[in-house]
Amino acid sequence: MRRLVILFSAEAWRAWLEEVRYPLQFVMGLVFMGLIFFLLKGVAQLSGVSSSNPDTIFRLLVGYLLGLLAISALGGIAAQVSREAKSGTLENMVLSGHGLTAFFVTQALARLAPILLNTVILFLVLTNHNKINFSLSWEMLPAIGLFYIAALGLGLVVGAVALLFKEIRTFFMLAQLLVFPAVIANLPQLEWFPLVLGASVIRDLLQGSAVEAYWWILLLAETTAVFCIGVLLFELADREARKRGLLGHE
Amino acid sequence: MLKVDSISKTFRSLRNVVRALTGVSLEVKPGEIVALLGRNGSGKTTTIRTVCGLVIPDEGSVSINGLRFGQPNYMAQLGALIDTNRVLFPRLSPFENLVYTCAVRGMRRPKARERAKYLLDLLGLWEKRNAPAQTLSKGMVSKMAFAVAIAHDPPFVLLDEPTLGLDIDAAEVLEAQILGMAKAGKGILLTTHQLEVAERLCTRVAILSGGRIVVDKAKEELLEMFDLQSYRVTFKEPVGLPELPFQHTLDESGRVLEVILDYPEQLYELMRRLHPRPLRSIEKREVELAEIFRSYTARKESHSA
Repeated sequence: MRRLVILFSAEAWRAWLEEVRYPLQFVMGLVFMGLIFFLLKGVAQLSGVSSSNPDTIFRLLVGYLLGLLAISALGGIAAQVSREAKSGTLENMVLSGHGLTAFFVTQALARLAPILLNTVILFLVLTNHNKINFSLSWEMLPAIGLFYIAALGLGLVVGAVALLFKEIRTFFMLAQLLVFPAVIANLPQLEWFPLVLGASVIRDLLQGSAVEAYWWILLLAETTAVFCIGVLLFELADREARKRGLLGHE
Repeated sequence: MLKVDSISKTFRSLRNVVRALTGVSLEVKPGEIVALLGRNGSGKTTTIRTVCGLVIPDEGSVSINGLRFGQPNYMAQLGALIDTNRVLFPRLSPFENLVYTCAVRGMRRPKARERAKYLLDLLGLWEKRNAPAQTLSKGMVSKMAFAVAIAHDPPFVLLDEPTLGLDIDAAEVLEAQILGMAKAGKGILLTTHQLEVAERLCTRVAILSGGRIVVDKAKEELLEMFDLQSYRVTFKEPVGLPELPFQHTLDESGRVLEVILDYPEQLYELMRRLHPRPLRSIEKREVELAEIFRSYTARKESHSA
């Protein structure tokens, strides 16, 4: 545990330094994400969805922001794997003795603060702009936490592919294509898909509905399973990359 | 002690199979500088990467002070410079890179800052401490790679081509540091193609050829052994040479032949083959590490051919 705290503290410091050094990146990220939402809303209108219905807009908005959160976790690990391999710092991570899985998960958590801040700002601005009411409760914290951990599990799967195959842009795009619409659409037929249940629970909580214990248990079980599978696959990929001598190569 | 025990490694891909290492064993004791020499593709970097845990060997094991890879504290015993060009987080400054490297290994922040300052001072990079890493020159990045490798003050250090691409002054600074570290009791395993660097620094030489260690001896012992077998033959007039089954070179004038024998008794055979060319003198001469290296690697290649 002490080792994880050391790792988290060092990674959080590095993330902070990189974030404050490039502030425009943060601001432009906000503007870009806001614009994409309006584009999405426009497309929804064109396809016959009523934009005057606050419930529809609310669901679209929450789905969109959760989709962004999921994609940041999904691509974050793979992007970091590629970046560290390119800068040659992946070897240093191995040499630090922490293990690559711990390293990348901790790194993703240490970089969560600006992503969450981004999401919250967008949420407040867009709900205010669209005159949407929402309810906040403490249950939101574990719900978002479980949602993000499951997304990290998927991120580890994509990261595992990046460790072995290096150039994975098309694979990542495919993963995005699957996850993003599934989280936004909130279709009952897709409830088995990882993250959809979490998104559904968060939507219900924001609308002030109570979530039964059954759904919490299911969400916890799903998150644990997805995260464990992610860890397992990442560990296997790490081992395989070392066997093939690919670790650290671009 | 750093101990590499009979490691073998074969890289397999869909198209080919490359036997990179075969039963490689070597030891580095505290205070020792071992030069691991070999031609390109001989297995030096694979050996270094295996010690670092970046490559898992098919057979054999590596241990440092009794700890094997994967055991807690194995990595704390080790610092490594693997690639002098790619080692820094590009968005951080040299100072931040070093503080991060120390902090991630558990050093407290004030001590990490102190250590970073010390290393930047030592390598003449203090003035560049706040420059973005991507703006550093190649030589500065190489020095930084060295600083990152020794940032946590490990008892054993692996250096893969540490002076590659450095100017003379920078190389001298680095060589002085390496010697100083060995004097302070650290064990160092270095690879280099600059044999004069190895000759200046190392106390022990291991030569890899075709993935096998073909010699592993104390440098002095090796040089002495070769001194006994190295001769300079001077002719009275330019000569053409017969076929000689020893490592040899004839200078441009065609009068001076330098030859390294496998054992002193081959001198009789050499004389027989040179007869009746007019001799001026035969003398023993001192050899350089480069010649020993060529002798071993050429011998291995001719055996495998």
